[in-house]
Amino acid sequence: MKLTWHIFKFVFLDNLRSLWSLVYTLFLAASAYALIYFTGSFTRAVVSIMNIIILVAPLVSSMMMSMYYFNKTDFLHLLLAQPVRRSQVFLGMYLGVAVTLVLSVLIGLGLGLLFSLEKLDNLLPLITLMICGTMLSLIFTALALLVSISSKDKLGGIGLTLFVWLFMAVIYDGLILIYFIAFSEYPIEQHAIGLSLLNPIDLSRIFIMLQLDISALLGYSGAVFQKFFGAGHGMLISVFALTAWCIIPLLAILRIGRSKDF
Amino acid sequence: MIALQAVHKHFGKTSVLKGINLEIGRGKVVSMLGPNGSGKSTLLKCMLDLVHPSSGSILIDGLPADDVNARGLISYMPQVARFAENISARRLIRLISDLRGEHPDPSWLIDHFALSGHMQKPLGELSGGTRQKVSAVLAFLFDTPIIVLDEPTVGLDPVSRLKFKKLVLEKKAQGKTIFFTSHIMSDVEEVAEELIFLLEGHVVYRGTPSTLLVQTGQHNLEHAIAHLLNEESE
Repeated sequence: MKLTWHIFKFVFLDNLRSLWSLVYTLFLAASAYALIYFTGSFTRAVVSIMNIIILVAPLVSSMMMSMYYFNKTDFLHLLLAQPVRRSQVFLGMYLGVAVTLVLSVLIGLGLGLLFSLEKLDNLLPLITLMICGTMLSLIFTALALLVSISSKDKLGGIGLTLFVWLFMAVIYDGLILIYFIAFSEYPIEQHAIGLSLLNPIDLSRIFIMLQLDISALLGYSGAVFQKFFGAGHGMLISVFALTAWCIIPLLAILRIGRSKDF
Repeated sequence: MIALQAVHKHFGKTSVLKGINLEIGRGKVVSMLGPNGSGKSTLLKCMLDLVHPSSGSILIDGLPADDVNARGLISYMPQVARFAENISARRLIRLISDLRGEHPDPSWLIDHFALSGHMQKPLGELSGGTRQKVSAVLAFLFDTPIIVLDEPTVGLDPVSRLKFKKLVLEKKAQGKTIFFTSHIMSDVEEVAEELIFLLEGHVVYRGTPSTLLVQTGQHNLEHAIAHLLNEESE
């Protein structure tokens, strides 16, 4: 654990001092502030920030992790040539990048909200927004590292990482829509819950919308979601699903990393 | 001591190492030569457990190369020293010291390579040669019995190259085994006691530089290697 901590500290500081981390933090702060300031209704502002967070946080996390991995191969080789386990190197590297991204989300949103305190009437959806941003950063950093480690070259690795993001953010919803239209005559609301658990972006979106109490806009499905996610066990299952989305890629990273040739 | 026995490595259908058998004793300076794609880097990476052999065994002082402790016996200097952009050389040295669990004083090496003015700067701001010198500090800092260097003098200015070679000879005098790859024959001639010539995954020559000169009837190493290559391709 001590060796992982040393690697984490180094990678974290390297990323923290990067210009991109600062740009990302300021972008989130400016977006949050501008949306709250210019949008009349609090709910609409939160929905707009949500749309930014659930698309931008996974994209930036994916790209930052993938670029760090492929641009620092010499550093990775140097670390792997030391008397440390591969799992300690990958875990340290993952945490170093992921924690920087989580801090950017929390500080960025926090700053934006801090400057708009007088316009805020309910902090709970905003806290949910921050939690979802944190979880999405952790999940997509892990997915990007998994894809990068599994790839043979930089171009393929970054391309595949982008595709994973595109699939989760856009294509998945399209496929679900086709499924719903094709089976519209059947009671498939229960399926919708199952399918949303399979995509962390969808799960985060539903979570935030339920906090905003606008699930009624989703009609009968919204009521089903409300019933499921509002109940204790539904909440627990979704937290479990988000955690699994983070842990399963990490386990796969350790497994693939152990046998990979560098 | 480094002992390789029947080491094979395939990448898909491509066979890169084809049954390498080698024993490198203590206190030797051994240079591995060969054209591009001959398997030098793969062999070096196998010793460091960066690449897993498809078959065969590699022992580092009796320990299998995939044992974490075996890597504690080797100091490594990679070919390219692009480590971290925003972190100083001093912090990088501290990280590697922390990972190795020993904290020797690097100041004599920093002075040796005239790096004191660069230690606090982010590595991304340093020139390629200066970063290479930082990498050399990491390779010679720890008291390991084996030092593995991958094209160590590429990018170094003439003065630093001289200093580097002086250091290699000093370490040899201390009984360290130094294993390095290079395409710069003058460096090889000056420091290597033994040559290993690799071609298409096979060891085609192993011996002293002087024996190679006699064997090929050439007057310098560059010509001797070219002669060896022509001989093998015929």
